[in-house]
Amino acid sequence: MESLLRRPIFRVVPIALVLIALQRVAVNDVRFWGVVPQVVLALCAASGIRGGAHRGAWFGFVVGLMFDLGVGSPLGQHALGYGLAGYTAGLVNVVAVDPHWWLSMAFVAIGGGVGELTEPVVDMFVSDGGWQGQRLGSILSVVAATCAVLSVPFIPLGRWCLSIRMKPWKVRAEQ
Amino acid sequence: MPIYSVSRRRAIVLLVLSSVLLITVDLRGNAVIVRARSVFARVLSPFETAGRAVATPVRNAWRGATDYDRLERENERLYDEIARQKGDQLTARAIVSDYQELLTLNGLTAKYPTVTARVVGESPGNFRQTVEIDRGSDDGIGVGMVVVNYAGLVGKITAVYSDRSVVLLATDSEYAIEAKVSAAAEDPKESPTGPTTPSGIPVGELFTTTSSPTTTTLGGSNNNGGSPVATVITTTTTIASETSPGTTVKPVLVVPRDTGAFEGRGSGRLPAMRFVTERSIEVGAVISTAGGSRSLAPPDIIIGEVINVIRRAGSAGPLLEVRLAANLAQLNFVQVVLYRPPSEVPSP
Repeated sequence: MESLLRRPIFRVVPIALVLIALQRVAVNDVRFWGVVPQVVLALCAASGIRGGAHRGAWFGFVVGLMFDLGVGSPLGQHALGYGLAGYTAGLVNVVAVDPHWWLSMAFVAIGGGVGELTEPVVDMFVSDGGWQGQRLGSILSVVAATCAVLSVPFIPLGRWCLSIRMKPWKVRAEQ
Repeated sequence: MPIYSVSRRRAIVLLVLSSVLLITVDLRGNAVIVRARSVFARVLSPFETAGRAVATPVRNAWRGATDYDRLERENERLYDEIARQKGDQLTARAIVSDYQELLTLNGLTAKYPTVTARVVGESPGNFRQTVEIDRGSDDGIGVGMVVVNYAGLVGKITAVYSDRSVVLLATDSEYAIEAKVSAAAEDPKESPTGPTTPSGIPVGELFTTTSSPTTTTLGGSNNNGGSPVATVITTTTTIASETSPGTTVKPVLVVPRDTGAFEGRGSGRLPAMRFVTERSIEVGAVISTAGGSRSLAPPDIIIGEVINVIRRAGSAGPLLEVRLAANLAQLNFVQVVLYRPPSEVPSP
């Protein structure tokens, strides 16, 4: 039973539900230069830091699907964006063996920016909306910055959701 | 693991393909997905209620800390506005009364049933301007129906579930509707000093028609299901205000109205009206829905007023920037007009 509860799905779903609810009822009112921070996106990008590109992508995909179901956007739109966010963060994270905290923040910011950029790209194909012209730059900047800040609590949270245990570094014994 | 391993590539390809497949299936309309959304909304509902309970004090504290000065200024401005609107209201009330009589006289009274709904959530994203309301298909709401509040047009329904609906706001770049613009004020040189409607249209112009009117105009709200309406009375000829024998007839130049497409332009930009050919339209003209057999909205719902006219060269015609009558930033209650275009109503 205990091992069953440790499975990622039993952690990801409730955490995602809480964050989606918070995004909808609370975070919407906290705007920086008119831009809404994306907490769910930040968690997806942060999950890629500890989980790697593969697990980050699937984490983002599942959470994004829940987000799409919750907010009424085309099913798969945020799944794609959040999946890419987790994937990108995990992908760039491998450039450093044990990245500093600020480097992790930067990677989450990059992942968050990619994930947010996906939304207008998909919109461009499926509807008349999409690109916000000059505003796109400020949207991406603010979302990336907030993702970076939120990565501080979300990287450990993402690790917990994915049931990843930190392995301490061991110095290889001399032959 | 290397960065570009086969496993990673497979994962990302699978992710993209799955997403594209889901988007395609959803956009084509799928009952399973609609059902899944309804179920998920029910699951999410208690989390949102709890989140709202927790977040409200925090949000209020945040607003208090960051918006205090702005709120104080806005409060002062609103006091001034209320004082000004009291005068306008009296004028408008008289106009509406006359307008109702006119409609009744001509047998034009049209009532559309409405459903009042509460706004329960905003779009959580940065690229769409939508809100969610707490009424759905159980209340007769359907996709495409127009949403208004007491000030004017708010948007249209884009997604409907059993007990909730999504409203695309009129500022969204995907929003477009046929609209008409009231005539510009008469020649500025002969501008009257009499009372005006809240929209700045001279009252005298509205009810001094002695020849048969071709179209109409008037600002304010009526009793048609609570929907705000505007009707413009204009003629294409020069008419007189009073025509009693022996009196001097003062000519009033009335410019015919024009129609075009009202479009949202996304967050941070004013919505605009395009495809207007009339070049004499001035700031302050009232924009309202045009109606028609194919339009999703009934005619004469107030959209807003022209606050900027961008003259363009060639045959493009002017671009009218519009300030919406409804304040979309602070929506609490809205009304869904249960209207279907005549072209979609099955004949008996």
